[in-house]
Amino acid sequence: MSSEKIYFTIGVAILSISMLGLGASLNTTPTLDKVGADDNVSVPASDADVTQVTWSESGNNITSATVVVKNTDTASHTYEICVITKAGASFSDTAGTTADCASTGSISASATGSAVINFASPLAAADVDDTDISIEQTA
Amino acid sequence: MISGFGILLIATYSFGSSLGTQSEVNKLSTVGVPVTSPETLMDMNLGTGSTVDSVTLTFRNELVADTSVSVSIKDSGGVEIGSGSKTLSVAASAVTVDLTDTVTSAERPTLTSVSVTAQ
Repeated sequence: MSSEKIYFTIGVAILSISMLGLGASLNTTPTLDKVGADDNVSVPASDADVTQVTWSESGNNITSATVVVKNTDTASHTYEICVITKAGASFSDTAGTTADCASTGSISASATGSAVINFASPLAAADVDDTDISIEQTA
Repeated sequence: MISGFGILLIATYSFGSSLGTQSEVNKLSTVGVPVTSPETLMDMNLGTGSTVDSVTLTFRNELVADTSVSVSIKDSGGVEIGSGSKTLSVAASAVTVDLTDTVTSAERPTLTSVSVTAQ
């Protein structure tokens, strides 16, 4: 065999081998180094206690909820309150749409304030059986 | 070529440092009010004190006499931090349930659920 043919054969063999993925299966789960952050992220509770909730009725439907909160901090704060109420299989709002929310405005330390949350979908008054309220401290 | 290859190798590593200070998002709380009752709950008053010693409930229509109205208050971990019940001697739409297990001032900020049952 001529030297050119030998070189060609060796070259093809090298090329073939280099195109093959020669790797062993991983025995342990690979983990990534944390980059740019660690577990040091928190979502603390708001400085507000819910003190009263009043549901309003109009024409045999529950149409809104008024939530009163007390600012338990020593500084003034503003809260965004969102409410979702359930009546059997019906909800006061539609999933995927903007939540029904309202702001309390600034509440002084140790004072109370309220927000009226109007429901996108009024519910049959006789069927309301659950309410979830979220209070976000926005300022 | 070798130096270029070396740069390529170094560039594929991501160098990042952990955050030195705690990152925060807006503070967020939730409160749930599940109700099991023949009449719709229209008002729930926990009071403005640092503790919760009683809960005043107003229903859409009167509950019949002998109805037992119970309140169970829980924290975010599902642990009951307050409870009480009252049996109506007469029909009424407004009921004040005195808690036998009151919510203390330490527990108050953890209040996450107020379950109301009338039957």
